[in-house]
Amino acid sequence: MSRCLPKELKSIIICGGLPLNKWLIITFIFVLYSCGKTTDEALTDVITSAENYLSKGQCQNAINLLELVGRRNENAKYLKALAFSYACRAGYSTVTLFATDLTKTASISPLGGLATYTTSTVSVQSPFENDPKFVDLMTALNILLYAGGIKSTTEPTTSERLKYFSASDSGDIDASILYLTLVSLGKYMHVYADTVNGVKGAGSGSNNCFTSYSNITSGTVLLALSNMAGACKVTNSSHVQLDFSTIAAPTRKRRLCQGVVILNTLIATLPSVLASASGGSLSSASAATAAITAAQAVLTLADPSIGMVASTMNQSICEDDSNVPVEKIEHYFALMFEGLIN
Amino acid sequence: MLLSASLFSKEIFYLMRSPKALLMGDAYTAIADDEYSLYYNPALLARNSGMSLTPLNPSFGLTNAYSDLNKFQNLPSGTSAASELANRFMDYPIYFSAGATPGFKMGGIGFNLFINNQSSLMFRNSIHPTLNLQYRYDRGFIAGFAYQLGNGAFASKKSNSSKTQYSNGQKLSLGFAVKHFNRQGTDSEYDLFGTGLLNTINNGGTSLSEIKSSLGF
Repeated sequence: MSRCLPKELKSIIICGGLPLNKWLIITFIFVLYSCGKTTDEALTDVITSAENYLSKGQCQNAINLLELVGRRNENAKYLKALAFSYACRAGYSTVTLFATDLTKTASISPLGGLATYTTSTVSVQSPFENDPKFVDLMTALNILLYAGGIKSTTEPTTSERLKYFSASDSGDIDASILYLTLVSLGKYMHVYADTVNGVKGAGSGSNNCFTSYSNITSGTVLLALSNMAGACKVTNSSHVQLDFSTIAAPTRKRRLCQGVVILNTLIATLPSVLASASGGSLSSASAATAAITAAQAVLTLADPSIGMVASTMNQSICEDDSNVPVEKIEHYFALMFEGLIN
Repeated sequence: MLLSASLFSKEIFYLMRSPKALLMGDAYTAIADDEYSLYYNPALLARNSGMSLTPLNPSFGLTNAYSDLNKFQNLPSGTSAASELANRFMDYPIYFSAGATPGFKMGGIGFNLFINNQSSLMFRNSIHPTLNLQYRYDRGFIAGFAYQLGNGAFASKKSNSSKTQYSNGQKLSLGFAVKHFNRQGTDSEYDLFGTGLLNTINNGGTSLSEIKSSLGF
């Protein structure tokens, strides 16, 4: 059979006894020209596979799969799947949040219930900012906050995200940000406020306040702090990891800024999400609106020039911008954080 | 194809499906001479003689939920409806279809009206559930004509004394079909706890029409 064709044709026509290298070439060409998926179809399949992993609780497999294809900042479904894969590793579940946690939000007034969420009460490693579950939550939050490829030097607002996504996708991203913010804030408050059952200073720590307020010189702010209803009445009862006297200034500011960013993000997303998705368990979260509004009123009355601290959702800006001094951050903590949990 | 590194496979959507074809694993195109000829192979109208009328020709499809009937009883409502729905139906495929295709065949001419509604949905991702929804609502008609071109293939049979030629197979024919229809549909993934769907479900809307409305239909 191998002699049935001229020598010149033997290399391109299958004539029986085809050499292995020819088979390989044909196979390679076949693979190149077969009915392969488009990039979008392949990405859709990756997302579906990741969601199947998440359904089985295989968070790490979902992360590996989604990270393998590279960050797709323009694809809302990809970003949500990736964010919730990290959130999965942090022990988060939207189903649990809606089924059992959201209704606790204001159960210990004003928002002490946040610190009793399922994800808040698990034990954490010290320092808290390096706790793997908290790091994963912040990673998930940042993936969605900066969705679309928003620069790290830009405030990740809804209007920024609307430049890259439809109103529907942006609304869904905002809702996801809100859920992650609620659990992140609950965890942050649970640890730094040393809570038990949502009550500040009731834990095994020695602090009654989030941080020390040594930089505050404003008598109005100090007066407002002393008039707070909660356990924090003095300026030197800080959580050890936020203590002015023992923690290096940049480290302390970084940790404080995490709280600022989380709370400001909650303040920015809560009204818009509630406006478009009312009812159900979310009604419990709407109680947060009243508590936050009340705390904001106290803050702006005591410090009308609070400025960027009360609005920034960008960790880098909070840490590095000269318009966000530590004193202003302490004002924010004294009258916002201390006012939200008693 | 087996050697391909990235094969694409996805469920094929049919305009209408013959029950007989389903039972035959869709190996049906060459013999689709029932009332669904126009949907599979219009050329087979050439085999038709006489006239037949199918005034309704309904079809129904439903998830085989016989062993999971409890899932469909007392559907959740109220404050935690969304999370209960997700828990109950996570990774559980739900399918529903209803349609009708009245038509007639007269000689080589065929005509069918059709109306068909198919919904296929599944919740995925138990961490942050999404609703995968494939929905189609088709209304229209299909008309066809087939023309017999010849007598089919011939073969020879040799006996002891003679050689006989006979027709071995069906006749060759050429068929044409035109169709016009209106389709509403989607094949996408929706965030169950995103603002659109959640608002509908939170406020008691769990019927298909209300969910459709919240998705933009």
